[in-house]
Amino acid sequence: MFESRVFMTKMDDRGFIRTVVKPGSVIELKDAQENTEAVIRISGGSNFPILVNLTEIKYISKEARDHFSMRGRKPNVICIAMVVNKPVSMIVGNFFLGLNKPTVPTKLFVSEKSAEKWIMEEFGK
Amino acid sequence: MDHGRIRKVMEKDRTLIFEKIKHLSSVEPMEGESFEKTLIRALEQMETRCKGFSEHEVELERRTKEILDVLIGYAQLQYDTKAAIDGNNQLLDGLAAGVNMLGEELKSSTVSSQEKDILLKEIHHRVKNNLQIISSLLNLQSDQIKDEFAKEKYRVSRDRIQSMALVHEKLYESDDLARIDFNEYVSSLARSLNNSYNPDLKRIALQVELDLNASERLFRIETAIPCGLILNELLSNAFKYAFPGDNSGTIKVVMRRNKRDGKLFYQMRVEDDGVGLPDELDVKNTESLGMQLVHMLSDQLGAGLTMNNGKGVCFELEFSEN
Repeated sequence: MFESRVFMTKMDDRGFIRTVVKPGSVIELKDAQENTEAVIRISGGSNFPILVNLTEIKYISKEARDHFSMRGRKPNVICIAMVVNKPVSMIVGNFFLGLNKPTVPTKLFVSEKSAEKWIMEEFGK
Repeated sequence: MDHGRIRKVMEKDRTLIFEKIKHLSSVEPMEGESFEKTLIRALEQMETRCKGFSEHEVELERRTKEILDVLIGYAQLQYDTKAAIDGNNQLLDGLAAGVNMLGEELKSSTVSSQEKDILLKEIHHRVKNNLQIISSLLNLQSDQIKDEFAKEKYRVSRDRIQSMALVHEKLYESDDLARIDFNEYVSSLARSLNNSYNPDLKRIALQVELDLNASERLFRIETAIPCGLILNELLSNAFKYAFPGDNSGTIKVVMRRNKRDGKLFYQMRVEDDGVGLPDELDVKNTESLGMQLVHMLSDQLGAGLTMNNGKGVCFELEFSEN
């Protein structure tokens, strides 16, 4: 389990990484980089699907968005399921579907349950 | 004075006013409460409600205006402001976050586009400088050559290079780094060749007629370079051969546009009133590199080339910019 200023990240029993953004978080590049390192550490270097619950996010900087898009670097996850069900998180999530599109399959969900279902069906081990 | 009647009217109005206030405030009289107390309570309720509604309205307007100001700033490429996300209104927070993020993306793409423009300008500048260096080297080399025929070949090559250098010069001088003002280009090239072949500017008169408006005379580099080279060949030939000895006359360069089937065509004409071409000369199969270039470049442009040889020579090139 990894906990930073803005994230809580752990390996789920079902074989995917789960990251929850803490309420009111403004995510900067440093936070994004820390979380990537944590994901690599937790997964032992193997790539897993990741579920990111963005519901309570307040803002994410351009540098952090670019980092999570994984352009120009080796992806450290197989796919990203984002949980968004408040306006700010929906806006942020939709930026990740277009302007800051990650290099791995990415989908938005309004509940963790549907996000987990997609991960297990499409990428579950 | 009928005091009883006045009291009755006042009582009636009082009841009416109370009923209205009760309706607006939704306040009901409590058991044992006096009329005045109910009225004060109803007015207080209305005041609270009005105040609350107004604060909400004011706040909504303030935040909407703030987001609008940020948007206006972004439209003017000012990215130093961001809309606040205060957690008090989810929809406005979402709107503010979206506006801020779009601003960041816009800033990033504006900066990279400005960087690309600077880079492109620099490239055109360097290409032009390099072409000019080659042209100068040819010039220096030709100074050491005694044979006039060979010397002339150097001069012709130098002019061709300069006509291309001029396109790059016009490109980095223009706001639009992809297209040049062809009127300006033709004028500059014609002036330069006139100075080179007709130094006293008296024997041969050069007339340049450019009938292209501002939007029609912007040519892409793919069109400008072959057109420039063709113009260079035709003009050089006219200066060299149309007026042998001390003959004098006029060379005309005309640029016009013509619309056919909704498509814009350009006509570039170079004509002189000189001696004309020898009858036996077949311009399509000549060994002259200059005329071969004219034909090759016309094909490259998909242009139609016509020639009239009579009292002087007239070449006309018709092409489309796209």
